[in-house]
This record gives sequence, C-alpha cells and structure tokens, in this order.
Amino acid sequence: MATTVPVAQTVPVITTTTAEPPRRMRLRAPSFALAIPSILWYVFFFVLPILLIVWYSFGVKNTTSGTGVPVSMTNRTLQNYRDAFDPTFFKVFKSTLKISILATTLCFVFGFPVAYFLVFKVTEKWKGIMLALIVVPSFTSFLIRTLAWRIPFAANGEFSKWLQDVGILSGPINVLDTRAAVQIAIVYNYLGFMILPLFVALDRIDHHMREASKDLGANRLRTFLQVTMPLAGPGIAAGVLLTFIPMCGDFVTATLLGGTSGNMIGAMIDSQFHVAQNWPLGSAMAVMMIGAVLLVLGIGCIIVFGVQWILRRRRHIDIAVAS
Amino acid sequence: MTAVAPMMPKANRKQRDGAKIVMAIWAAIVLTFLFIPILLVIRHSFNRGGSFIVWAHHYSTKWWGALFNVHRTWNAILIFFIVVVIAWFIGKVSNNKYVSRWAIPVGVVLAIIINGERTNWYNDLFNETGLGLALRNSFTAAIGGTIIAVILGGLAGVALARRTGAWSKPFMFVLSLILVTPEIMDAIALLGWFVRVGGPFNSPVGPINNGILRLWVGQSLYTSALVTLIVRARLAGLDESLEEAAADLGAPPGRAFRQITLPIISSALIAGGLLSFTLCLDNTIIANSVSTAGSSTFPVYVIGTAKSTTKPFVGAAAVVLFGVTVMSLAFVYSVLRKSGDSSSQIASTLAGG
Repeated sequence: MATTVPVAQTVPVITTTTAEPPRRMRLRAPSFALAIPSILWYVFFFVLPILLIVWYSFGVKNTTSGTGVPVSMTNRTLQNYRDAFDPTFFKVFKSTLKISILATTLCFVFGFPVAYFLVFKVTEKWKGIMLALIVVPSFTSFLIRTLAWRIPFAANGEFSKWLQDVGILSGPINVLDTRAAVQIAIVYNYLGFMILPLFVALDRIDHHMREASKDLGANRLRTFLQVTMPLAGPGIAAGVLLTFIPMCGDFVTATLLGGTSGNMIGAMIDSQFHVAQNWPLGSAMAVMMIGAVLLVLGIGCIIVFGVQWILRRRRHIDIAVAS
Repeated sequence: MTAVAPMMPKANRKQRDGAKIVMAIWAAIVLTFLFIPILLVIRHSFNRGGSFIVWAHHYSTKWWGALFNVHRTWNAILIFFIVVVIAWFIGKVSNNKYVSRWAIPVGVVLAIIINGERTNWYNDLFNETGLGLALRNSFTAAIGGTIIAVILGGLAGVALARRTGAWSKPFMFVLSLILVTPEIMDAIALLGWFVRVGGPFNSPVGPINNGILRLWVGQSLYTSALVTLIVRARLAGLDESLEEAAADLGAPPGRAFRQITLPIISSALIAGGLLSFTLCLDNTIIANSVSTAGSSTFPVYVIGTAKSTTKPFVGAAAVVLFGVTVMSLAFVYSVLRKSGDSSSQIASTLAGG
C-alpha cells in the first residue's frame, strides 16, 4: 500500500523591490534616412537651381554686374516673356513643337511594330540578341551618331551623288542645315528610346488575357485593339513621355544639323545664355518651353481620355437585373 | 456519341505567317537603320582623305596613326589578347566559383593595365592637344559622376524599396522630374546656380578642379536617378526575409546593410554604375553649359569643332569610345544575366524599371 504523502514544499518567496532599469529611448532613424543624401543633393542641385531660373526670368540683362551673373533683379519685369513671343523666337517654338510631335508619332509608328514583333513573335533565344541590337546603338554616343548624319547629308557626298545618278534628285542634296535634316535625325536618335518602353509594356501584358480573348471568339484585330493596346496603355504613355519631352529640349541635333532654319528651342535657349548673355530672356524661354510641353501633353491626355470615354459609351452594356 | 474533332482553320495559319514575315522584314529594316550611322563613323575613321565627312573611296589608317603609334598599337592589341585568353583559360579550368565568374572581367582590366605599363599606347591618345585633354576630362568626369550616382542611387533605391513612407511619393515625383526634364533646362539652371553659389564651383579647392567638380555634379543628377530606379526595381521584387533574418540573428542595421543588402543589390549597382558611366561619357548639353575653359570633355570638344570642319581623327576617337560603350553594355548584360535576369527583365532595367 503506497501512500503518497504530499509533501508541501514551501518555496520561500523572496520579495524584492527591484527597480526597472530606466527605458532608454532608442532613436529610430526615420524611414527616409537612407535617402537623405539624395534628397539633399536633388534639392540643392536640381530644385533650387530651377527655381533660380524661374526667378531670373523676371530679371533684366545686366552685363556689368559684378557677381558674374549677368542679371539684375532690381526691377522685376514681365518683359522677357513678352520678348519670347516675338515672331523670330516664337517661330522657333512652333517649329520645335511641330518637329517633336511629328517625330514622336513617327517613332511610335516605326517602333511599335518592332516592339510587338519582339515580344510576341520571336523566340526567347532571339529576343536577347535583337534587344542587344536595339540597345547598343541607342546607348552609344548620341553626339557621334548625330554627327554621323552629316555624312549622308553632305552635299558633295556619295549618297548625294548616288541620288543624282539614279535620277531621284536633279541637283546635289540640300537637306543639311534644314528642318528636314533635324526631323530625320531626331526620329533616328529617339527611336530606340521609344522601342524599349514599348517592349517592356507589351512584355508585361499577361498573355492569359490575350488567350482568353481569343477563346471568347475575338479575331486578331479585335484582340489587338481591345485587349493588347489598352493593357499596354501606361507603357505607351511612358514611351511617349520619354521621347517627346527630351525632343522638345533637344540641343545637339539642332546645333549639328539644323543651322538657322532648323533651329530648335533648346539651341535657342543655349545661345541666349552663352552667346547673347541674355540670361533673363533665356530663362523665360526655358519656362515657356516647359509650359508648352505641359500644354501639349495636357491636350494629348484630353484627346486620349476623350476617345476612351466615347468608346466606353459606345460599348456600354446594360445588364438587366432579373426581378 | 462521337466527338467531332475541331478543325484547325487553315486560313488562319497562313495569315499568321504573313503578318509575322512582314513584321520581321520591318524589324530588320529598322535595326539596319539604327546601325547605319555607327557603321558610317567606323568606316570614315579609316577615311584616306582630309575630311571626316566626304568619303575618299580609299581606306587608310592615317587617322588612327595620328592617334596611335602603329607598332605600339599592334603590341598593345597582342598583349591584350594574350592576357584575356590566359584569363579565360584560368576561368575555365579553375574549380573556384569566384575565379571562374570573375576571371574574364579581371583579365580585361589586367590586360588594359599591363598594356598601359608595357606599351604606353594611351600616351598618344591622351596627349594629343585639345582632344587628349578633352578625353582625359571626359573619363575623369565620368568616373566621378558615376561614383556619386552609385552611392546616392544605391542608398535611395534601398530606402524606396524597403522603407516607403509619406516621403516616397514626393521623392518619386522629383525623381521622375529629373528623368523627364529636358537636359537644356538642367544645364542652364546649373550654370546659373554654380556662378551664383560660387565657392568650390568657381575656384579650385585643393586638388579638385572646379570645372571637374561642376561636371561631377551635373552628370550625377540624371544618372543617380537612373541608379535609384534600377536598385529599387531589383529590391522590390525580393521580400525582406533575408534582412529580417539578419536582424533576428542580432545584426545591427549597419551590419545587416553591409553584409546582406549590399550583396543583393550588387549586380544592380554594377549595372547601374556602368550605365551611368556610359551616359556620362556622352553627356553633352550639361557639360557644354557648365564646363570651364580647362575642363571641356570630348563631346564639348566635338561640338566646338562642329561649326567648322570636323577633324577626322575625331572619328577614330569616337570609335574608341564606341568600343568602351559596347564593352560596358556587354558587361552590364553579363552581370544582370548572371543574377538570373531574363532578356525582358534586362530591357525593363534599361528602360528605367
């Protein structure tokens, strides 16, 4: 017979008053801590300088100022903006916008089939090679590639002689230093920068969507218009932005190939700063250039959204609620 | 019940091939068009005549000879080749992972250095008056700009990917602004700013030439924004588990960053850095605006001579720069490939993520 005798164990309870160590406030770095160098850099070297330019656009040219900055801000004026609307300057503005809009459209028209082909019709093995063939020319020296266009455009060069021999032209080619030269070269220069974002946009489309569309009976054109294109929309917008805006500010192409009749805003602003030493006027032109770009983009947005809205209304489906 | 086998519409098959062929032809035309000016530049660097533009129908290495001494050049090429082949061989034969992965790039760098020591080929190029100084400045400015871009961009990219907050949207907005703003705007803004602020931008501080400092700053803007996007895209795809594990194991944030995060983004940093280097070498508009008299870069030099006739050996120098660019791009491609990117992902990296 086993008897278990519960042994009451008395555990000596020691009560001590131990003070809790004072909680140290741990300083947690703010979430943007790592980005602080960048933030400071950009504010100091991007935001402030541009604000300075806007500030200068209200100033007056003053070549005798001792600070090295040929601007006098004592009498602020809107005269620079009025000067910028002067016919000689304004003509260049309009010409630049025309060149840029046409060039962006051409880049899109030329580049979209290539991007589409690369994404949907090419095997993985060839994709890499063809992408490389597009990237390499686009990322090599912009300046040299533009300069190279002087070779075919040369009045006494071989291309000109060939055109005359074949009979297409009756005299030497006369495209250098004209708007046409700038137009062609700009399309060339920015073509790669249109193809790449289009490629990325089309590549990111979920192929199941397109398959579903085909399964539901849409033919290829309808799939393209109503599934592929809308899904690639943001990417197309990115491509257009990445080409149109830099084109408007283009300086190299206009300087090397444009001469006086092919002048563009970018070159004009630069000459105001470096040749005419008229910084306020140049600043006003720069501000107007940005304004013009935003205006064109705004109009483009309105057109796109308008078209979408109209199409949506046309395809509106009323699903009757069963009562 | 017998099932009816679905008929494959024959008309559809033929249509598909037709569209594909048309698109293939178009793509071939566009690709050729993209390469024509480059091939023209290469051909004209061998132009026998006096002008860069007009083809003299004869090939000559006269302009290459003006830039490079022939004997030294052949020696240089030979040594380069031998060193790279030895490096490749070592890479193939070795069992060590690091050796086989890095053998060729290290070999290329070693080859360039050994070349420099033994043949002094770069002397001719870099000592050419005007052009030589411009080339040296180009490289100095590009290296400095790239270092700044990688540091700023790497840190900011990590912050954007890992520590989003209320600050992220405005910061991304500024980044997008930087990428999209026409370069001429940046150029004149910086010109005004440098003159206004003065200080190290107007007179040399110690060994740092003020002109080169201006170039470093100007070129670092766009490139750091690009590196930020690249690093962010790389990190955003990976979850934080590795970093959390490091924290759980007791690593303080600094150590975790150094030993965990940095290696993860290393390929993005290298790719971004090389891309920045390539873009900085070609930076024309900002360099043209802000550079001082003694610190012009190669693009500024070319634009300067563009109003008069272009000196033909510009063509040879341009081909050298092309070569550098292609090598960097190839390096970027191989680095990104080795980290497992497909071609599509590489394209999206280059397009800014």
